Amino acid sequence: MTRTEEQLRDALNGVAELVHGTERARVPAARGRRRFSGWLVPATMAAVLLVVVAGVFTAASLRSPAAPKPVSPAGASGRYFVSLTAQGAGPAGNGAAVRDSATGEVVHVAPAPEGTEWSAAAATADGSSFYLVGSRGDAAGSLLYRLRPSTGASWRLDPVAGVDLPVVDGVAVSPDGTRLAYVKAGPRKTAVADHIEIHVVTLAGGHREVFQSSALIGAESLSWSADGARLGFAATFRGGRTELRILDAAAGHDLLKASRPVAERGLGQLTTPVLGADGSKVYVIAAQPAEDGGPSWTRLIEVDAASGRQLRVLFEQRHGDSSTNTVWNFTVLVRDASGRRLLLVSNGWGHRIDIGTARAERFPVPEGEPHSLAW
Amino acid sequence: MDGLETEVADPPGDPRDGVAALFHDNRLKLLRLAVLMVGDEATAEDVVQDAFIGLHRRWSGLDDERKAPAYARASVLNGCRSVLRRRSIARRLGIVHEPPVWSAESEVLVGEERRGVMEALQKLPRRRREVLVLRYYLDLGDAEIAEAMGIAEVTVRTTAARALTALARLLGNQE
Repeated sequence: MTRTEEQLRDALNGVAELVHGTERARVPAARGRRRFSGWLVPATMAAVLLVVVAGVFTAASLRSPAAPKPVSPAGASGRYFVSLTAQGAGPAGNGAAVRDSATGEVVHVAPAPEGTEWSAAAATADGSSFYLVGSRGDAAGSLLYRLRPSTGASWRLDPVAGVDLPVVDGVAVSPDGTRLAYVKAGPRKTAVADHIEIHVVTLAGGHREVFQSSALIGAESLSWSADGARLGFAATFRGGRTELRILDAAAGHDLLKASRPVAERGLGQLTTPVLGADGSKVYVIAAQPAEDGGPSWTRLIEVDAASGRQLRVLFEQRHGDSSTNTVWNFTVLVRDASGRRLLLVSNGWGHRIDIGTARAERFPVPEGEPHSLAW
Repeated sequence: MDGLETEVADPPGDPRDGVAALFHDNRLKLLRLAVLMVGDEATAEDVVQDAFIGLHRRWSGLDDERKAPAYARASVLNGCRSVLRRRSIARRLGIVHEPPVWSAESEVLVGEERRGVMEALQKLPRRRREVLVLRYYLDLGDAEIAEAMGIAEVTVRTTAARALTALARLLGNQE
């Protein structure tokens, strides 16, 4: 157990033991009168605020799109990436930081609009548009925004109207920038989702394709192939088994029938698969044991999508201790639109990895580990 | 330290018996969980009471009454999320709520290091905070945490890894 884990366990138990719960230790009756005094005022304010926010965004969406024509920066494709870091340090804070992918330098920060928190980011292939999801909480869902270069060195953030989004922690925009994919969990009968849906929404017009399976209780880490025909994702079945899968977006709406598994075996615990540009490879973060029985490795590996075989190790870091709780040293991974580079962030450094040569270059990311990257 | 342990009586149960047994065995643990999430005991009491009221209403609809403790945990977590969301909105309107029990303003003595850890924990996003509290306070396994939060097990592991990294950084630990 690490020092942080020890401190955390001690603090949680220390605070918990201050609570003795002697005031209302009686079984509540089902028809017991609810106590509105502490809830009514905030709830009313919430309703008022939502009306105001809705009004603001309705007004924004009705504005004429007479914006300055976007000027793509020189060598736009892959020149910038966006990182979202909750409670990040430094000038970026909780905002969406646009960074130079060569140096990691923050060139622009887009704060989350009032009433929202940035929960996910995605990039298009031309490198000139990023999509950001602003979460407003489970009941109110999320709003979608587009961030793109404006005149000179400035960037502009516009709400994207007509896309009904729940709270999501990941989205993937098709390389041509026309479709947005995200995961939505079905209603919960008990604690587990009844089914899982992958939604693919056309941004112009809102047409929606829904791929659904009741065999799954989770899906995450969506990533498109360069032709926009396939979508890689990590699936979790009832009972907890996980699987890397590749969805053919034109093969019907049964999520399992329309997708095929990447039959990997013995690669360790996997997370954050990213589909290669041509769909023939999957890049994924794996926790793998050390041959000598010592501390384990976190590796970025290349997997053949047809056979599930590990082809190469592109990047690796060894754990500092043998803690069994910390599975991975890094968990966020993204591919650039060219399909030639991958980017991950670990322990204050961004690592840019050339897929062809497996050469890694690093740059400082002092703000903390992002929860979402878009490149 | 133990997690929530109740095995509820065999069905078909009178909801009053089942809920009473669950309440008796788990109330304090759930109350403490809620305090760790929302910061004060009065609000935590409301959350736990509401969770049990909801459980009472839905008792006959439970597929498997042995799942009731997990259902109660999930209900308490949902209740805590609602509280925090309402507070977030109220805060923007200038309304302040009671400081958390671990804060310097509180009259309760927590200790500097514990206070620092709790304050760092509050800086994490909601999902990361929940995973850490469920793992390091209730000692739940990844599958149980996944069930309580309604997320996939792999998401629990990635979230926990990210959360510990972020927490270590906030605490200035070199790990």
